[in-house]
Amino acid sequence: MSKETAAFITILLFIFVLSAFIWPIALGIHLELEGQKKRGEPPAYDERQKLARLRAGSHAMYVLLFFLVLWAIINQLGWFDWTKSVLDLVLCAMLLTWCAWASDCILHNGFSSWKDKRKDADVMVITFSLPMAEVVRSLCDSDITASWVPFIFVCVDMVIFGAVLLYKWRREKHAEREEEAL
Amino acid sequence: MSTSDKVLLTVLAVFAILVWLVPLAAGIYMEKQEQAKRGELDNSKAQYDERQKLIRLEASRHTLYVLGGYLLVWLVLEFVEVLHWESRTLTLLIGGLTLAVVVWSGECILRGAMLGFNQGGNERSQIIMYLALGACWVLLGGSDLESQADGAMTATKLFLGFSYVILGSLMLYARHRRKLAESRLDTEDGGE
Repeated sequence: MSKETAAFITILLFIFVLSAFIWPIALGIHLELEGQKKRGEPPAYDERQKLARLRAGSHAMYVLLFFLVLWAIINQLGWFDWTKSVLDLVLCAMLLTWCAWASDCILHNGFSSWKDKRKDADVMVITFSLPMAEVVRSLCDSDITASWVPFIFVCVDMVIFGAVLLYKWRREKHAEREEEAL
Repeated sequence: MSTSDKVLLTVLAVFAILVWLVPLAAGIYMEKQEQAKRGELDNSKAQYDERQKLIRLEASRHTLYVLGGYLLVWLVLEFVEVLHWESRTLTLLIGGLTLAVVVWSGECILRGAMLGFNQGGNERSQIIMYLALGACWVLLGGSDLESQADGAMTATKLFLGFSYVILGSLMLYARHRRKLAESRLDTEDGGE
């Protein structure tokens, strides 16, 4: 069997296995949403939150495009060898996009559903980031990536999330105090 | 030329560009502020209604998903070692940017959010954008990136070419659809 055929079969098998995981989840979400509509339940996010999430998506897209352009320039200048690594590029791009999207959503109250009454629901973003950081660290540690840059990205992401959460918490406290004063 | 000379020249070049750009930008900004104060609509710039703004945001979100999928596909290809091009990272980046332009513009064109409501179907800006993109791609195709040719650049050029054709087809289709709708409206108005 030639190398190309083997690669083709591997890709097909990979997609097949991935689909086996994805389609039941997608079907489950779809059926649940349909069920909610039939029962007349309100959606998880209100109109204002949906708009905030859309805007966050748009901003994340611009951030991703800017990042790709920047990476292309650095790659062409040939300053760093790791810019040739596709895995490093994809990991950094995904982490940056996630950071931009989640931060924007948190700042505009679009991250956690309005149904979620917990005051600290947005802190979930750190909970999501922790396993991500561990996966990225293990990838960097086992030399699968060309550098530790993805790990630096995930650490910076977590610092930014922390700062955004603190800023939002402070803003809410300030608003509460102003309301009380009125 | 020494490194310090190069730095000095770069700083001077940036300064020279800024000397031109800053007054121009300030003038445009002040004019816009004046227009806003007078309550005038800025017809030199496309204005979009709420529906169009929403469509543009949705198009951005879809573009983000497509780009994410595209990066993952590249990652899979990288892991199964199908591509052995030396300059595959550059191909990935150029492909990603092109894909983003095509998906975003394509959706906006098809859903009538590319042209502002104040442009009255005037496609001049859209055509200029299309020609400018074409010029960029032609320049890119003919640049010295060719020196890295090992299949990657050919693939990039093919990808760019296909994207350009798809975007052009979408523009023509949207134009045809709009003209058809306009002629229908005219017929209905004549009938009444």
